[in-house]
Amino acid sequence: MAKTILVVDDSATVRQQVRSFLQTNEFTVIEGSNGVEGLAAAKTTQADLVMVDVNMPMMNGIEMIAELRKLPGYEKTPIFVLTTESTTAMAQKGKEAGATAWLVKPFKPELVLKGIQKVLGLK
Amino acid sequence: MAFGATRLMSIRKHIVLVDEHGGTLAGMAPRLKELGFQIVLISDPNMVLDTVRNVRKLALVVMNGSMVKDLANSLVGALKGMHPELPVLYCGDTDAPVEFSGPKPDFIFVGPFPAEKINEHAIALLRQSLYPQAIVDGLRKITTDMLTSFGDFSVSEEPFLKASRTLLLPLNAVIPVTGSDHLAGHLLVSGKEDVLRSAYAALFGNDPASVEVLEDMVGEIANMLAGGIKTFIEKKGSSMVIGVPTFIRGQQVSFRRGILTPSLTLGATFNGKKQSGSTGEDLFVELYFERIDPAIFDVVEEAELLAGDEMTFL
Repeated sequence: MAKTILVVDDSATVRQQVRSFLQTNEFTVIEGSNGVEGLAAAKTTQADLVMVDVNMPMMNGIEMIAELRKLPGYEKTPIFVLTTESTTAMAQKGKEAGATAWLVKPFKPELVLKGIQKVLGLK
Repeated sequence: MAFGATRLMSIRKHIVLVDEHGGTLAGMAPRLKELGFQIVLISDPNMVLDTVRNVRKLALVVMNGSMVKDLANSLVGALKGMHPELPVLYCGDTDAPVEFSGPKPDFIFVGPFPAEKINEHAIALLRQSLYPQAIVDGLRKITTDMLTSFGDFSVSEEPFLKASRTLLLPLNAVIPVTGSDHLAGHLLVSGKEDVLRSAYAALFGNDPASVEVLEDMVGEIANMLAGGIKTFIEKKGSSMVIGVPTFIRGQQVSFRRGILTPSLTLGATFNGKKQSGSTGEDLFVELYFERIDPAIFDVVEEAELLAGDEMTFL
C-alpha cells in the first residue's frame, strides 16, 4: 500500500513541486497551505510522514509540529522541515518542537526522496 | 556580532563634478540624475575641498583634468585624506598627464571624453561603492543556484544599477528585508507571463491553471532568493528578517519605495523561451538597500549554518 505524505506549505508552487516528485515515486499526497490546515488534514488522514514549511500564515511550521506531536498516531511520525531558514538556532527550535530533519530550500528532490526512503525503511 | 547604529551608512546621494558649466562633465548629469543622484557642479577648482567638506552623503567626485591642472595632485591627496573611501574619477589630459605622487584616483580616464563613456566608469565606481563585490558575487550565486531549481534559466554575468521605480516586467513580487538596526531594503522579482508559463509547464508537466499560480511561482522565487540572502547575511554574523511578499501586476507600473536608491539588478533568460516566442530578459532580480552597515561585508568569519544541499537529521 502506498505511503501517505502530508505536505504543508503556503506556496502552491512548492506544494506542486513536492507533490509532483512524490506522486512520481508512488506516494499518496495530502496537503495544507498553513499549520491550521495541516493539522486538520492530519486528523482526517493518518500520514506516514509530514513535510512542513516554517514561515506560514495562521500557524507557523514550528507551532504546527508541536501540536502535531500531541495528536494520537503522530508521536513518532517522521517530520521533515523544508524552509529558507538556515540558522542552527531555528533548527534547534524545530528539534525541540519535535521535527526529525531539516532541509534548506531550494531542495533537490532526489535528496528528499532518499531521506524519506531512509526514515520509512523503504530501501 | 553587533553592529552599532553609529556605524550605520545611509545611502550616499551626491556626486561632485568639477568642470565648467556646460563642459563635458556637466553632460554626465542627466544620466546620473536618472539613477537618483544629486549633482553638485563646481566650476572653480579652489572650491572643491570646501564643497566636499559641506556636502553630506557624498558618493563620487569626478574631475576634469584640464580644469584642475596643477591642483590635481594636491586635490586628490586632500580628498583621500578627508574621505579615504570616497571614489574619485579623474579624466586626465593627454597633453599634460599627471603623475600622482601620493594617493591616486580610483580610476583615471584618458580622453577623448564623451559624457556617456565617462558615465560608464562613474557608474561602475558607484556600483562598487554602493554594493560591495561580496554582495554582487553573493547575489549572482544565490540567483543562479535558485533559478536553476525552477528551470533552464541563465543569469547574466554583470548586474547593473537601476534607479527607476518602473517595474520592468508584468508579474512582480516584492519582499521587504530588514535587520534590527543595520539593514533595510527590498528584494523584487519581475517575470514575463509567457516565459513563466513555459517554465511552469517544463517543471510540472502541465499548464498553470491561472495567472495567480504564476504569481505564486514568482513569490516563491523571491522568497527563496530572500532566504539565500538571509543565509549570506547570517553567515557574516548578522541577522535578517524576511517579510511577506506583495504582488504587483502590470509592466511600466511604478513601485513606490521610500528612498530612490539605485537597485542592484540581475537579468536572466529562460532557455526554453524559443517556444514562447519571448525576446530580451525574461526575469529580473532587484535588490536595494535603504540603509546598510557596510561592516557586514567585512566579516570573514562564517557563522555555523545548515547547508542547503543536504538533509540535517536533528
